[in-house]
Amino acid sequence: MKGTQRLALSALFVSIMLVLGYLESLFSLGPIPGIKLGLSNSVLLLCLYWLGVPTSVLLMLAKVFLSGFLFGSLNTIQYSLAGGVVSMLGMIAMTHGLRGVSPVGAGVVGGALHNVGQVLMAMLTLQTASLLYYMAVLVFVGAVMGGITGSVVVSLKRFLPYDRRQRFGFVQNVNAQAKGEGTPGTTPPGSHPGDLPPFPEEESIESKTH
Amino acid sequence: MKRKDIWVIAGVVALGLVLLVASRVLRPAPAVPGRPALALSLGAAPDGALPVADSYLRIKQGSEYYQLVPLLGPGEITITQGDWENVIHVDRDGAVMASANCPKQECVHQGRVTLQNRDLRVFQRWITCLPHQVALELLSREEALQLLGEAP
Repeated sequence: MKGTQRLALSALFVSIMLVLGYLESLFSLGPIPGIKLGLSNSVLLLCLYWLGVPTSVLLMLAKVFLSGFLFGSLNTIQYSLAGGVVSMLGMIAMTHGLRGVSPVGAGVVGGALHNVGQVLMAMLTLQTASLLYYMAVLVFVGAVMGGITGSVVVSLKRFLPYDRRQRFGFVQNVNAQAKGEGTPGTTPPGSHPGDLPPFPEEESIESKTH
Repeated sequence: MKRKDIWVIAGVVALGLVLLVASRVLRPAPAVPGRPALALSLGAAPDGALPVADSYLRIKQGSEYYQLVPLLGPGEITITQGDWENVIHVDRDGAVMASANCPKQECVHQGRVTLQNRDLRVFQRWITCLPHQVALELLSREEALQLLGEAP
């Protein structure tokens, strides 16, 4: 049941990322080519919090290849993969490596590094360092866009299961009983309408014996 | 936002500033012997000394450079690689990617590069078509001579 739940959520997230990526490709945000809002990154960031690192990496790869085959070309896949890998490494470091970084900070890093990865791939393809100025501009723009997508995740984190909120410090008070109902982020699992039951710990053997 | 977010954002801003500085410091690679000039409408570049012009266009296709194209007047350069085609319009002042059959046409949207605007553009002196691996670089006469190792 829980494996099916994870699979269904994964499929849902990939679908949402594909739709968002397609919609973004239909319009540009300014005169500088390559600037996008990066809403797919917000879904990926949410996945990191919700589903963990291995599943999120798989979803990123699925999104890159599916969107490349559906809406782009082999070239698109090449640059998307470069950006996706570098961005993912940065967001993993911010969410699972460093403690005390909020989704906004993780989004900023993810947005900036996504553009770094893509321009790096372009520089390797053209074998020139002359795109460094373009990369610098995109770092700043990507950071701003990443901050926006990180803010989206902040507003969505209330939908995370309680144990995931607790793990990443989104629960304001661990002793939820003392706070009672109505206090954001403190209700125990199952008491909030629409709460999903917590996923089992990914690496814990002891939890299976309880 | 948490306190560590401030440090993270500061780190990203620092990265951008380092890249900005690096883009000013790094110089273009010297010219290497490559294919003969493509400028059919302008006439092939003669052997020997560089023709006198205010600006030159250096075309890179893949990893190879073409000979410098002196911008002496209006003209058109077409680069064909199998099914890929890039059409460049040049004049005495600069160059622009007029058309390309790449999927997103981002090279066409990069606009015109001239000696006057090349320090202000996001792509600086370059126009690049990544899917077709074609890159155009606008050089002044001094830069062209320096590239070729000739005295100004």
